[in-house]
Amino acid sequence: MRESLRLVIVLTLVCLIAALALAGVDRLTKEPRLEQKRLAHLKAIKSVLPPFDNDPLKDKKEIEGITFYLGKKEGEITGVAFSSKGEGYSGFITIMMGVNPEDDSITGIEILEHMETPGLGANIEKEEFKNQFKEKSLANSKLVDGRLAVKKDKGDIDALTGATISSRGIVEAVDKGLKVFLKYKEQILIGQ
Amino acid sequence: MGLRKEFTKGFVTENPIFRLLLGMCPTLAVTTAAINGVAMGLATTVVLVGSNCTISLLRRFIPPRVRIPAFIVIIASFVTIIDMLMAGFFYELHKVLGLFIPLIVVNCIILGRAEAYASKNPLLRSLIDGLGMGLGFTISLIVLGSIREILGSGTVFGFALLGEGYPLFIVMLLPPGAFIVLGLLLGLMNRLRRV
Repeated sequence: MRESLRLVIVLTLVCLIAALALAGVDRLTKEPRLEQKRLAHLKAIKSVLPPFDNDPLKDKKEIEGITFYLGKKEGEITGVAFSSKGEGYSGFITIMMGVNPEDDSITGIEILEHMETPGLGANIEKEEFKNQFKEKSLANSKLVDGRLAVKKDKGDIDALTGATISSRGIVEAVDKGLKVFLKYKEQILIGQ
Repeated sequence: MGLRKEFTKGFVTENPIFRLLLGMCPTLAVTTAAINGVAMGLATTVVLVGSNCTISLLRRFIPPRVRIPAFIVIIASFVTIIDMLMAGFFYELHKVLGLFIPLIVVNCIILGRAEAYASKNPLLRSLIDGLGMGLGFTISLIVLGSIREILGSGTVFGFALLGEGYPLFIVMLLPPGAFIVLGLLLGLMNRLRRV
């Protein structure tokens, strides 16, 4: 009886101290962690939009749960940034993409979150891969069944060697994003 | 055993990957490139040193019958704390390592050293054991990662090593490649040891 009581007490103490330490560190790092996420978001928005002189984090519009960040130069909208998702090799890939409202073409994409294989699918973060989407639009690309596609699927986008599924995930995200943009374009631009 | 030997045993004689065959899950999963080996190895070393020290200090306090759950709670807490600290203060590093950190919890090297060493030895020795084992693990991961990166991507630490014309050996970057290279290295280590 004595012995089992000791086991219970020790284990409880160990767990209690661990819980306190975790709670403490969680509290201590909560602000910096959120701040880092916000900075990463801002950085992604900045890098996908063409040059702007406003604050896109303030000039934003929420439509059907999607946030559209507007980049403006001298009051004119030069680009709209928003996030989109596609299914990769292991889980969803979230990207931030910028679209030029003049001709509905892409001004840039940035990867926000992914869980692709390091060394293979994770190469979607490489500049050469991301840059090929610049200036692409549904109108100037080779579509397969109405969708953007990689070369292997008869489209015109270069997939990464050994990572066709991850590449398809990005293409899916970009394709969906372009369609979402067209669908809400009027609402986004209204009153601007 | 002298302290120096306590430190160096993790590199060859008791190398966690090649001799103890511990921690195979992260070993096989992350060694697609040399740099991943460095990152995973160093993160594991930090957790290993921390958990070894804590467990060594608590070794008289924790009754043998509940030691395993107690060790697991301690190790899991260390990993979570490091994850949160990195996410808050070293975001760039966290972006690279983020995928690997949860894997450290399931690394049996850490529980293995807690059970086999830190729970029976004083603080300083446990610290040195953790450091030696961690660095031994790191070096082994770098060797494995370099071989797979050279064969699979033609680069090492991201620098192009083999010219453009080199036909890439993609399977080396996939799970089967991990098993093949690990198997060959294990065979080599056994062979060298016998001589």
